[in-house]
Amino acid sequence: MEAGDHDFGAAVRTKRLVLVDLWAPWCGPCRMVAPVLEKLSHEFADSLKVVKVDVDQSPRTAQRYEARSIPMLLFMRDGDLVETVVGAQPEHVLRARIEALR
Amino acid sequence: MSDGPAVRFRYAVMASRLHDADVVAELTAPARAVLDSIGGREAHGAEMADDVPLVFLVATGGTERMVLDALAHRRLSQGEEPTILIAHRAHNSLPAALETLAALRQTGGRGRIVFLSGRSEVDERDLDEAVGDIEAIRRMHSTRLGIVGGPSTWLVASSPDADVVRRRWGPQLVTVDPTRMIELTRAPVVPTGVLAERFTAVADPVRSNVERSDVNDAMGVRSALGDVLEDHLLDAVTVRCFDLLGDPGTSGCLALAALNDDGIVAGCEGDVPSTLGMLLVRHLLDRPAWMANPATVDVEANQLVLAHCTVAPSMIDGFALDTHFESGRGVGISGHFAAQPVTLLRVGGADLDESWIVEGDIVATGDDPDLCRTQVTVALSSGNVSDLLERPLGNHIVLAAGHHEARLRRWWAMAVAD
Repeated sequence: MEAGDHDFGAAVRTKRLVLVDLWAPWCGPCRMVAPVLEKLSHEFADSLKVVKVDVDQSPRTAQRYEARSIPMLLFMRDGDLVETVVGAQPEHVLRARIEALR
Repeated sequence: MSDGPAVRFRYAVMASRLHDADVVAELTAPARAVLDSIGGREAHGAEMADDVPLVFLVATGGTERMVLDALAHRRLSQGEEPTILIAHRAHNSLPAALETLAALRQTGGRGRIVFLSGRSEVDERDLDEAVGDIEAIRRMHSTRLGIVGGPSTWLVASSPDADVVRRRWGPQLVTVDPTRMIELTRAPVVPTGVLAERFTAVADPVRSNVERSDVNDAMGVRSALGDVLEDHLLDAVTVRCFDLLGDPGTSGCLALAALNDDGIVAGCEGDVPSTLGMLLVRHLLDRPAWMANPATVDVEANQLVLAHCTVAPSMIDGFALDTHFESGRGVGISGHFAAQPVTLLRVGGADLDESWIVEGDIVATGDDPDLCRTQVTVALSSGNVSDLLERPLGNHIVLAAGHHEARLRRWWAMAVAD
């Protein structure tokens, strides 16, 4: 799902593990990792929620998490930040993080 | 020297007189076919002194003195240059090549042996690269590199003498007074609005943050540098660009970006070592390079963030125009690199004989307001970012698209290293 400054809080307030993808249309590495996140969101549908946030459209959210290099992936639970990963990561690395944190 | 159609390079087939000529011809036919296919032509007699690279196909043993004598004769017209010896598996070709190269090295010569595997696609690649290495060396030696305004004052470790540049790397360093560049930037002789189109037509209109008039003014530097290049017969340039910020009050970022995309290597800040690195990328790999500041390092993740305000548009997926970061004046490029494999290079040392060459991948891009406008995060797959903290060669790092560490290191070993 997509979220922005106005509904970010509601989007991440869940007991499920949330993976927030801070991205932008002009970001090449973001575009590269997007299909991987899509795939993982289906694979872990029961235990993972993927939330996409366009940093250009949601500057307050980007600023709160100091998203200066993107993609920035935030692992969250119940609205709290658990882990941050900066940069496009291989699928196996992301899968390992999801399995460790869910 | 002989007349005849231009060729990329010559190759001399060296065989002992103990061997029958027909046998040698048959033995060397596969190698000659590959060499011909990549632009080579066999050299006979005086053709060995032609003003193109010359490589030696060591057909048999007993050719050591023959090669050395041929090189001594060629040196009379062509001067010192590294030697490529091609060896194969039969007739003591490799033993002869080993002995010959060892003798060369004992007297300060440089070179490399290319051993033919017998697999044509591998041999073609290896030979093509070997010839390309020599071609790059020759291009470096024929390059006139202008340093406009001198090195910036903060380049305390990156201001080599012209004789070091010439002796170690080949280019002739030409000091250029910046006065004419500044005058021509103030009063350009061509309509800069037309020059500016190459940027304004493709820049992201939503994220760009400068006036059209600012872009026009910035392209006055491109026009001015074009004249400077012509006036001084320069092939490449590095500019003390911060001086432009005061007078005439614009930046060199767009001009340098345009020059790099026009095939003319152009470095920032009067940084000669980094511009040499950019020249190497252009001459050896036939592509532009990006010169940038390492802004942050993450030793644990083995990553670094590179940032600068100028980048050749052909290297990036898109860009926005913003002011030059540090001054807030002129025009800089906020470029967006695609995720891709890259090679990082830094040249340095008092004698320009040290290097840092690593590979990595671009994994993130950014728009941090506290950094220069174009920003990437590179995750290293070879080497360590901690090297930059423990044994830096200077500030700027040169980035080239693709993984080329092995190629660059081979070239370095033959062309620069003692």
